[in-house]
Amino acid sequence: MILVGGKPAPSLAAAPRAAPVNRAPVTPLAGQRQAAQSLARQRLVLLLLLFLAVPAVLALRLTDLAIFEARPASARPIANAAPPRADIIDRNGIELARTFEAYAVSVEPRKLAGNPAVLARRIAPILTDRTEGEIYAELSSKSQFRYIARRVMPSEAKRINDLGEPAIFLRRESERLYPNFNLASHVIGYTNDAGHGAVALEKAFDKQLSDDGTRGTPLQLSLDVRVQQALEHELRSVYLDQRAAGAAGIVMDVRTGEILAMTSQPDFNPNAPGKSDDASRYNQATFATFELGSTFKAFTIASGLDSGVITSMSQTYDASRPLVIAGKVIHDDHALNRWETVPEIFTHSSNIGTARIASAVGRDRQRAMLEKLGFFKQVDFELGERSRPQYPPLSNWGELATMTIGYGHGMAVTPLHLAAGYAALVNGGIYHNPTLVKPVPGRPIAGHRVYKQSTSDTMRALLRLVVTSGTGRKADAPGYRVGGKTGTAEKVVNGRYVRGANVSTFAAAFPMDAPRYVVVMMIDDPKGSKTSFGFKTAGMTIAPATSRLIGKIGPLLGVRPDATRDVDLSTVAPKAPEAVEE
Amino acid sequence: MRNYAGSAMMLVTTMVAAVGCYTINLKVSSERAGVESLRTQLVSDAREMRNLQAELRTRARFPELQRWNDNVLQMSAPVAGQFLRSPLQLASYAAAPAAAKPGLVYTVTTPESVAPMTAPVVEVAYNAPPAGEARLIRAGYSVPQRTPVPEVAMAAPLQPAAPVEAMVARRAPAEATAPRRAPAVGVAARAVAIVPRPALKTPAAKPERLQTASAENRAAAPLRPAARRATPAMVETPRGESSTASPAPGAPVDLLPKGGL
Repeated sequence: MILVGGKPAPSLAAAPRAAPVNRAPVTPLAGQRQAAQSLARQRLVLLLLLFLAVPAVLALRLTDLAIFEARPASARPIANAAPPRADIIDRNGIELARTFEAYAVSVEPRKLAGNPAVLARRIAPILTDRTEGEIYAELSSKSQFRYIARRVMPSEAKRINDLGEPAIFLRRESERLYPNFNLASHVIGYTNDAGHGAVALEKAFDKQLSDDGTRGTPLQLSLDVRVQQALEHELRSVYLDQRAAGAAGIVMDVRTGEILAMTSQPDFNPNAPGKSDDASRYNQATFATFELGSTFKAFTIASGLDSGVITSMSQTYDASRPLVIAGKVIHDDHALNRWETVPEIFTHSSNIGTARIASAVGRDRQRAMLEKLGFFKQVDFELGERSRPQYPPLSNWGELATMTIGYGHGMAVTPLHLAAGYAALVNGGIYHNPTLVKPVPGRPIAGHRVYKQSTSDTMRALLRLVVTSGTGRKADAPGYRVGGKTGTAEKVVNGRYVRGANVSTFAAAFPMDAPRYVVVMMIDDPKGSKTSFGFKTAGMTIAPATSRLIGKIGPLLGVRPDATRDVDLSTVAPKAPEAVEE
Repeated sequence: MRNYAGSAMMLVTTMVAAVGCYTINLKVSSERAGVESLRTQLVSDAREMRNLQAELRTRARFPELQRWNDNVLQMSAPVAGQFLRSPLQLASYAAAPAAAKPGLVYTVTTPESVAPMTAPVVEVAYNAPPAGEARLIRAGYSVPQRTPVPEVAMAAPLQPAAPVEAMVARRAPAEATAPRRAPAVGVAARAVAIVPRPALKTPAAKPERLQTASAENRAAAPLRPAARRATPAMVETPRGESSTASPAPGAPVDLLPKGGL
């Protein structure tokens, strides 16, 4: 039954009349059907679009996987072979410091399953550098986490792991290794527990060594590990033989200022810096100042030559009697008690003669020369461990100070100051800042002129003369044309000279016909020994070691010994006393 | 119906394309994973190499090498005389002929009769009667001031270079202790040289079957008489040393030079 407007539909007989009435409700029905069909079509289209979108989404996702998500894979950390901290290598590529994955044995004491005493007894034979008591103390600690040992060998780590204690963990952690142990320890330094540089070059270049962008490139130093070994070997032998308080040594390239070797005795093992004392970690080559005695006479005579005070090598100065100035007496250790020529003053290390030259040069020119040599400030180079020289204030720098500083007393500098000064003295007069980093080949080395070329030439001959016929004869190495100057000064402790305690220094350069390297060796408070015949002076203690050192490093550095060549000493050789006095 | 078939075809095509793309994607991903694995392995190997290098460097550290050199090797830096200035200097070392450097074989003089080192050294050559070969004798003698120089006398027949054992075996103990015949006055001939005498060539004196190292020879080798060890009585007292310092008679003597080879 069809309901129309809620009323029963008319019969079929009345259909013709009722037709107009009945047709009117049909129109909304058809509209609804059309609307429904339209809606269905819309839904179908949407569904079709949805289906069509699936491959598009898949294609997009595939593109994303293939292109965008694939790119970072190659840049993952695992693909980066750079060490966590850059290596340090010498000038020939030999490793001086590197980082490697070591084992650390740690424990969570509260979670220990076994008896700490039994465990300590079983671990002690494996970790030979720790006692059973120390291990027991760690195992029985009340804290949550303790290290039993770090830098453990893999074989030892495996044996500890085989003990089966669940509260003992093995961890791989980056450790800094210094393969040569004590060698160049004062130069390289070491890192702290956090892996950051604590001392020396490790500290000075900490950012470069640990930066992501630069840690893949090793830090190349100017050091030559072979020269370093030779220097340490010779210096340590003297240090032990003389039972000295300390020693320092430097080998430097005079043309570039590169430091090829630098050491201080006693030294320490940077792999275990905590086991060394403060004295061992003290770099006396750059961080300690000394009155370096007669080695300063070379600077004084050079300033005399440079300023025109000394016009001839036959020029004489009165050294016939001790010099009294301002209530103080200056005397000679190797007194000739007569007038001496400049070469005689230098070769016999006359304090009186040098004091007279210094006086003639004058305070202002002396200070200007020392300032050009950088003797009034810290050495400008990479290490942070460097000391400022000690010298009298200008108000107290009178004639007496001028004279005493002229022969190396009254002013304290580091051995590195002395090495840089001697490099300028023999290389033609140009001062170069010392450096521990190998310079880029071909790049000009900065420097400034201190002495004239002619002054440097004369000083080379005078320094050679000291070794051939002066106080430094024991420093001669056959064929290497060694030149140098001894320096023996009384040691200053707490502002007072200590009688009987010396600081013996030898500053050398070779080969003197074309100087390439400066060697400075210093020994603090030698006691005298059988090999030095009881003497404590530089000529008997440190000069022989300098000779042995140059004989070793000369061939390594490409300096060919030649017994048929030498410096022309005819212009500076001392003449007979009769001829001098004419 | 036709419309549905078209849609179905499109759907199937889409699904096939999608599955195909996904398969390719899987393949590429697996290849990438393989490459990544290789790269990881490379890095791991590089780290392992670094660790091994670190161990090697540590074991061969310079202070340790120095200790070895001080205690065992004893090597030293070359000195001035060991450097050559030119190839000509090198060539000059090869100028001397081999015949001018005879080996020292036998000393025939007593310590008292040795001429001082300042005496002139005369080199003479003569023809040996048996072999007819030129032999070079180096003889040092002191020239008398007034008396004429006597004829150079060869103190003993020339002895060829022979093994020490053979040389010692030829001398009986009694002969070694007997007083020697004094050489000519003022003459101290030392030295000698030179061409091995065929009679003392041990290889020639041996039977032919011992010349080769066949299995038979090796089996026969233990049957050969053992080499005689030298005794103090058989060895001449070295010049400048006292014979009383020698070990007890009968004890073996080390014939190697002092300090080993």
